Amino acid sequence: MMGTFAVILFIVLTLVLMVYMLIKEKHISSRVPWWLRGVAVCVAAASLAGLAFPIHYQRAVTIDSVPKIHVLTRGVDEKLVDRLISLPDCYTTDIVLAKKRGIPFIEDWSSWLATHRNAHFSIYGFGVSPEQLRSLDRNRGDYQGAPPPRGLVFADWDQEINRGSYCFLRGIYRPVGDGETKLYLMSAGQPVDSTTLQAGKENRFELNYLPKQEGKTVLHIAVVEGGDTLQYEKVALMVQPPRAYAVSLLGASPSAEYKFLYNWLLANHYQVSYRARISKEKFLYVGTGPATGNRSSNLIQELKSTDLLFIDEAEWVQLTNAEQQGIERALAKGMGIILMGDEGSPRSKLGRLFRWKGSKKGRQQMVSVRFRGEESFALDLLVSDLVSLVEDEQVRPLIYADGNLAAATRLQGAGHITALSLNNSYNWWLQGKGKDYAKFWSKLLSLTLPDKKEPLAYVQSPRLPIPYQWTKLVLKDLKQHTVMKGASWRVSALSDPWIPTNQSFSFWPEESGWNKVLIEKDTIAIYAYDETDWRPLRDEERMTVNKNYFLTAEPDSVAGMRVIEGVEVPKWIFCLLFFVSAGVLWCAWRDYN
Amino acid sequence: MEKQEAKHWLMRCRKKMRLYRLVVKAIYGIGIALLGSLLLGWVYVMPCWVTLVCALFIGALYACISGFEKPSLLETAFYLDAKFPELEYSSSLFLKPTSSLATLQRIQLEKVEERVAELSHRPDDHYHVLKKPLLFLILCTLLYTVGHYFQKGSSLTSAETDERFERKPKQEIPMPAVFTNAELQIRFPAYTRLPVREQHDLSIFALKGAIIRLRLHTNTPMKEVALLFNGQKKESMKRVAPLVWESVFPVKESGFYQIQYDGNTSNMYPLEAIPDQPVSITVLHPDPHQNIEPGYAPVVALEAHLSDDFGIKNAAIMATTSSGKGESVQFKSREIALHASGGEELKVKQSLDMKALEMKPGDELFFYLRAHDLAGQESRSDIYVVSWQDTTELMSLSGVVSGSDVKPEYFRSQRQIILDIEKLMAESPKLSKEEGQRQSNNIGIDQKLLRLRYGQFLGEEAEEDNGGNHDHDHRHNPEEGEEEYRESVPEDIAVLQDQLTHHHDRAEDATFFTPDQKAQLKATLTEMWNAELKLRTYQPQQALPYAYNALKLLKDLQQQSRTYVAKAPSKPNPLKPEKRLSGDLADIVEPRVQIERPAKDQRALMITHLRKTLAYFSNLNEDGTLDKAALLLLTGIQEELIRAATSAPGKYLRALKVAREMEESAGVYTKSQVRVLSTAIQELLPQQYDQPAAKRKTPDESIYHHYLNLISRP
Repeated sequence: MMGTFAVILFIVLTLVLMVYMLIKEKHISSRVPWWLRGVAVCVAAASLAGLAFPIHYQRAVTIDSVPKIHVLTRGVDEKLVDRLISLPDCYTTDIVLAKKRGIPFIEDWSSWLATHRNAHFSIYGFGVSPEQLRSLDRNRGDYQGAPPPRGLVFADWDQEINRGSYCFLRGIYRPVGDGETKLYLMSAGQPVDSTTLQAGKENRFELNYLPKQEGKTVLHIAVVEGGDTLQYEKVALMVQPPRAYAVSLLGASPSAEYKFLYNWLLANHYQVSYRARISKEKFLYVGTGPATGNRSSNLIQELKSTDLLFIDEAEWVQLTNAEQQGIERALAKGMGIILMGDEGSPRSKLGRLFRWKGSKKGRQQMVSVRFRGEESFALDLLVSDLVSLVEDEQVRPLIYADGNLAAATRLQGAGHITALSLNNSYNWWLQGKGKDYAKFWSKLLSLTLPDKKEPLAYVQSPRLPIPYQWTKLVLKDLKQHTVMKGASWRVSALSDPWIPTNQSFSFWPEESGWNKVLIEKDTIAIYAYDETDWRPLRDEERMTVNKNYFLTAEPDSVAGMRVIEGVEVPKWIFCLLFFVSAGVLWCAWRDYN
Repeated sequence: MEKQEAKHWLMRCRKKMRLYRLVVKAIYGIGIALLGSLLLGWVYVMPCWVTLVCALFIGALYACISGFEKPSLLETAFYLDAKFPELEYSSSLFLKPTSSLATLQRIQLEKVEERVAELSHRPDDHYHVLKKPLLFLILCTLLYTVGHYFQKGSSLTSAETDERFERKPKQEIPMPAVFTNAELQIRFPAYTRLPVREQHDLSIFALKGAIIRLRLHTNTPMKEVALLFNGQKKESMKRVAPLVWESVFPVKESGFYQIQYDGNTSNMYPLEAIPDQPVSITVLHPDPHQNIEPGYAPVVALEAHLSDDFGIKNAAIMATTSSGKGESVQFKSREIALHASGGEELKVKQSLDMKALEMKPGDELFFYLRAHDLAGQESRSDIYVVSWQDTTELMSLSGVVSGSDVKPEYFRSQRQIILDIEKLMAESPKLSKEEGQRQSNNIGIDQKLLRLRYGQFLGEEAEEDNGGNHDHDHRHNPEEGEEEYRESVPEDIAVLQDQLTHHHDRAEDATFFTPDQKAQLKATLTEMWNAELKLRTYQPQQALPYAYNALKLLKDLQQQSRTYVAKAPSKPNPLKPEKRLSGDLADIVEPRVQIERPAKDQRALMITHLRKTLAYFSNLNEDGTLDKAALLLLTGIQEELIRAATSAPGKYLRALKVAREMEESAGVYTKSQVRVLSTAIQELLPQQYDQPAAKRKTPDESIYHHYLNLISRP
């Protein structure tokens, strides 16, 4: 800021000086013509500015031979260092390597780069940072790689989850030693999930945990081989309190399924209303919300604030046209529907959106209920008649009961409609398996509920920021130009040239741990890791970035190529011009006196 | 005296001097060794012999440093000159050759030689040199004794105490500064035969029922000293001397206690009551249900292993025999005592001769093992059933003839169980809790016996093979119900076979009961099982509906063989023909139930509080100070920690102490404190259940919506 001010001040003063001198020269009489004196004044002022500031111009040059510079970074193979160390143009960005092997250390990347402008850079090791990489010409460099880093080289998890949802941590582990390795996911110093990894090969793993915490929390992942802890990393997680939804249940008759569902939803602090038909146009009403009447208008009004509707097919066919249209409108706007099928399905417009296979009657039997994608995990349910659905390209299968499709969902407008053929899930409650019941309905509801629109939708890069490293947030759907505030700074947004409502912010987290960022009235919490955290993962990422950056592999391939390069005007020209113009003015002044 | 003799006297004196010097050094060495031993003992707790060796080494080192040099004769002469004035500082002349002496020296030598004889007869007074070293040694010994006493006082080991109660606290909790000493005596119940344990640490880990005598010594007189149990119950201590307070109390339940004195409250000390385990009974033989086939000796080999932590008082086999059928069934109970001599283990190897129990073929034996430990706690094994098959039944043709002799037996027993339950409920206010539970359990056992008997109806008839021979692999013709078949064609061929095949090899299907009867009998057994469950869990009131249901179902089964004839013509309500088929529903009322959303109770709020605290603490990696919000969280969770520490002090008391320490130090914490607290909170929080959560709209998806909105604009 001060530098810019000084430059402006200098230019202003130079201009003022020039104008002053021109006026002065105008009013004096001399044998030297006025125009010559005026030119001399202008040249002197311009030379002064030229001496103070560098002036560049571009020119096209043909590359004949390119000096090759070797840049050694962290992770470079020791044998390679032995080979390269004897070469004259060998530098390093790793202070340890510089001290240990006496290789010249690059302290200031940009100034070092300025002194090696036309060189070809060969990078060894895990590579240079993305910021350093961007200052290199893609055509004048190559990446030579390094032995792959060992340990946790990849990990991914949802950094923000709702309470009652599992935190799934998936990753890749590249073995360090030869022994069997165990991975532990830890909360409050206690292991909450673990897995054993095979020795001698790269392993993919998945750990999960239903957090007991609420708010900003940090779990840990530990890699243990024998009695040694090889790696211990932080897993930052934001656990949001659950949101209460408005749910309506419409039944053709009072049923145990709805009764248990109603109680369970109520226990989860949902706003629930239950309407069961007991006679022609006569209903039983149970609800936590305001009392609703039996008129269609009341139901239609209620649907406007309903997130999820349970309805059975028998009830749908008895609804009035206005009610059916009201439900369809709400569905199109995003409301979720769970359609409870029976042996007579399909018999409604909604039911016909799915293909039903008919019922399989038999005695009461235990069926194995599995969610798609979770084949290893099954819930046993006691059922009598089993109605099943048919898989087709329009529906997304959700649940299988003994291999038969029991629930599927499809998009209708902006909302999801889910058909379910199991109608006695309350048996789980009767058998004392409340946990299974909660798991079943939580999953089904989560897949049917309307998408939760976040107040601030953003993409953060990098995923694991560290203090004093550029971190970028791209925010979506911002209506106006915004300012982001940190603990001691303010940053203005940069709008996307194509989608103006997308705005990006770049900033530095100032300390490791949770950093609060205020955007308008909302707060985003970003966890900054220590520089030593997730080292193998960062190295792996850096290697990939370096590998993909350069377009050419060898310096010889660029020989003979014409490139445009920037050249600075030498200072001596300005110095000469200044003295010449000053000499002219002096002569004119001497002549005057 | 000759000069030679004088020289010998000088040499003797030198020997004595050397001896005394050695003794002095040894005394100093021992003194230093004692001091060294004491100091080492304070720094490192080591075995006595190690301390002694170290101390001797220090003493020897001192002796070496100070030197072992022999005093020279000249040095001895100087010493004697100084000691005896009679020698006139001339004893060194004895050491010089006579030839080298001057005349005056010879005269002086002769003069002194005469005195040497007299001096050599004087009593030895060299021991005076030992005065100072001995004084030093005494001082060192005193210091060592006093220091060692305090060292011993601080250790808790008591070799005589049983190892099972030698649970040292994880971290010793210091006494308040005003108390100079604490004497804690734990007197275990007599039957444990454990010696009295004495300790100076205030953490108590004792068997339930033990008597604690706590004596506190104060350094200043106090008005009142009391013990505060679990932060609620206060019990004053008795003053037994001006500076000594005493309290005697039994160990009833786990918790913690504090000492209150003159308005101050001490740290919390754990009080953990370790329960006496009841007798563990393992029956190795026979199996839970055993049949004695015809032709085999009616003897059951019983092999069991009983064990208790302190001793088994008595043990017995409780045998019940049932004989007869139907209404004439008879039960006889008897107790077969086992020899238990109060030992901690008892191995039972006994043969139960069914003839000796007055049983005959067709009878059944139900037995279980019962044992009491020295504390009087009763334990029971599961019930074992032995059936003695009746050969006459094999020859009986009654089943073949009637084909459906399905009249259920023993329904009177079910009625008897109901009567017993009702009786127990009526008497329960007068009964002690233990007695009520015992009776409830006994009725539960009766219910189990009955259930086992009825369970036989569902499987044992097929074994008698009186159902006639027919093809076991025959299948129904699928064409008979083609329409129905088409409607529900299962995809799996195994399922299809299962639906269309009789499984005669399955005990459940191989009976003469009709499917309805089978279902009803199953339902009866379920009701009996539920009744038994409630009775076994000491809930007789809740068992009663199940028992009544079982009886009702049994009565229905009984009535199925009879024809029902209405006793009298019924009186239906008069019909209103004008209302029929009119569709008038005006009188049908629509029920409306308005339910308030359940408010979050205190427990739920507390759990939320714990969740937030756990999340907060998970972020603390280094020592530091809590902010105000965290201090509020910390204050909020203390109530829950107190509750937890009361029930499990060993697990949560440390966490509670840590929470209070952090609060008192205005939020200053260490990493280890955070770890203790986090672990406790993690364990305190209940298991989390799944909850529905809408899918978050990811930014990648919203770009499509955005594009859709843009192209949708007119």
